[in-house]
Amino acid sequence: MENLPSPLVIEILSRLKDSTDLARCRVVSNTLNEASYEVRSLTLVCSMSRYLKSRSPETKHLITPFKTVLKNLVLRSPNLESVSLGVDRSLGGISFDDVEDESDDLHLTDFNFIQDWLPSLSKSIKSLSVSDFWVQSCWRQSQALSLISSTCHGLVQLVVRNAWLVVDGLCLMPTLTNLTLEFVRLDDEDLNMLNTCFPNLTQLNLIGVGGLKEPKINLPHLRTCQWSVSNAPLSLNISAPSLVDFHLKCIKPRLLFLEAPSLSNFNLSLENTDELVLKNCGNIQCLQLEVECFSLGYILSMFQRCVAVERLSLDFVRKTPRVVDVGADQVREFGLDMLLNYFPNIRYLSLGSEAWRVMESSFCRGSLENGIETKTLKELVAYIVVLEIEFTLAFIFSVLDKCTQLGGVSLLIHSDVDPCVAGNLISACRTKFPGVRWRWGIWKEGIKDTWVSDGI
Amino acid sequence: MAQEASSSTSSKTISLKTGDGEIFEIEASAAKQMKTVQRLIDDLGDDITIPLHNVFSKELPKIIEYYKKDITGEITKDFEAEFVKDLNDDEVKVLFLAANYLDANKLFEFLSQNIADRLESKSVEYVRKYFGVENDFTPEEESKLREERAWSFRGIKEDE
Repeated sequence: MENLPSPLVIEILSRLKDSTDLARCRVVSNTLNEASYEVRSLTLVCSMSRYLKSRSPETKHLITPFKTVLKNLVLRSPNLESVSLGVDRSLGGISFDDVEDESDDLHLTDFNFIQDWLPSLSKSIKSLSVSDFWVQSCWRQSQALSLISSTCHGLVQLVVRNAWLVVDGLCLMPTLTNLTLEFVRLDDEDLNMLNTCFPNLTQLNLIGVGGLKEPKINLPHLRTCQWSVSNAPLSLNISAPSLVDFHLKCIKPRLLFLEAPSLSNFNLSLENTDELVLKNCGNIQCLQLEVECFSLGYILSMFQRCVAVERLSLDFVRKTPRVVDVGADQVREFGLDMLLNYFPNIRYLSLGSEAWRVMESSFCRGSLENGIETKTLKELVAYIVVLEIEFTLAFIFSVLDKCTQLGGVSLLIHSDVDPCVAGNLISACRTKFPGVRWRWGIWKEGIKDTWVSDGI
Repeated sequence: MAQEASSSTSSKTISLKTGDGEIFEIEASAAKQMKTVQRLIDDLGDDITIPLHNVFSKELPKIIEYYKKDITGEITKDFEAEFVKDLNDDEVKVLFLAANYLDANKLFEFLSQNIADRLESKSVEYVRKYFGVENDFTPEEESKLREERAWSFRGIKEDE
């Protein structure tokens, strides 16, 4: 049995996912004890069972407080480059009614707690992640950001979840390139402090960040961004010359302004907006849209300079349950021509079930003119529900007649559709268009798509 | 068939000789992923059989299998899970040391994570055996350390 040299032992110890295992390893031998202090990363999670034991009268005296454990681990490992602490996601389900005390033993973004151990890592730390305990943190304002910014001179990545953060005293953090705030109330209404103090961000994730009024993201080096926001902000403004990949999920902002000349992949989920301004966004190649049906015309018209779009995914936000809404169909006419008109160069098209449904019924009412052939579309993916097989088949065949270079068609049929009907649909398609590369699958809301190669 | 340019590595194979004298063939593009091997090729030339004194015929085929998949971009989580499924802790340790010697970064990262995962919730005695270390604490030192870290001694798996 070969002994592993110290550097290799450190490599392994560094990858232990839970620092509880690391702490135990320190009891193994003096060598491992010393090696463990060279470990560069620390991960400590408070599990549900630990939380419950710390509350139960029989066991609470046996449990070392989480904050104490963390402090001790950090103070003995002066070279830590990465620290990740938090409560398990299951504790997110605890509501105020379940909690009888006002303790702050798991308030992890508490200034005084962080001050006890973070300064000792000021030179080494590069990545910090704190997942706070919502029940204890949501009503306690935290000055953690000012402490982190003034202490951590080389921090590259910061992740904070489930906290209430103020930006008073926030200092410049020129080395920070990755920032993730998830379910955080941020007292920086227009994101002014964020833009000023984190100017070199390349990756920004703002998921469920509240407290914003008219936020503007203005970051010259930002390359990827994920922004998921409620309907509270009045406007959303993004100006990012290096942005390549952008996911935006919002509801009905009055104004949405985007200036992103390098943007290549844009995923936009938006019910409606009074004003959509896309400035210099002509390089978008891959576009995913999820919008309200009625707003489609307006939104598409704002994309008319985006002729570089080659891949398009479209679906409509479903506000009512999946039921045929006759009223809505009579108002909205929508066909392939409309899409090809705005995006003449698309080679790949993916249609969600609502988009398909509206297109199919528009076609079957005969209310759209059959436009000219198109040679650019090569691949189609669609999520379908078969209500009347003749209509669905007629629509599919019309698409194939129109798109003469369409070589690959992948259809996912809803799992509630009768297998016989699905089977008939598949054989009819194969018979009429044998040259097409057909792929079949099954879809259902909330469940991962299943692909089936031969029949269902 | 056109003559292959001498700089083309697409179908060239390299011969590797293990510490116990066996010879294995590996594609040049896979050899590139093992920095130690590549350094030897740069020094000795690629027509010669490269000697690997610290790697043996038991583990080299497995390493070659990994990098064959790597050059075709087929390494998935499923493949990696299957790759280590039937290996016991000592076999993984031997592969890990070989990956370290060969400076084969991807395999090294994967195996170090796998070993860390295997040690999850294992007892102190198990870890001692695994790393092959002697307990060099006095009984008093050990009991003090255990007491300080009492919180970490719950939920330990039974040793196999």
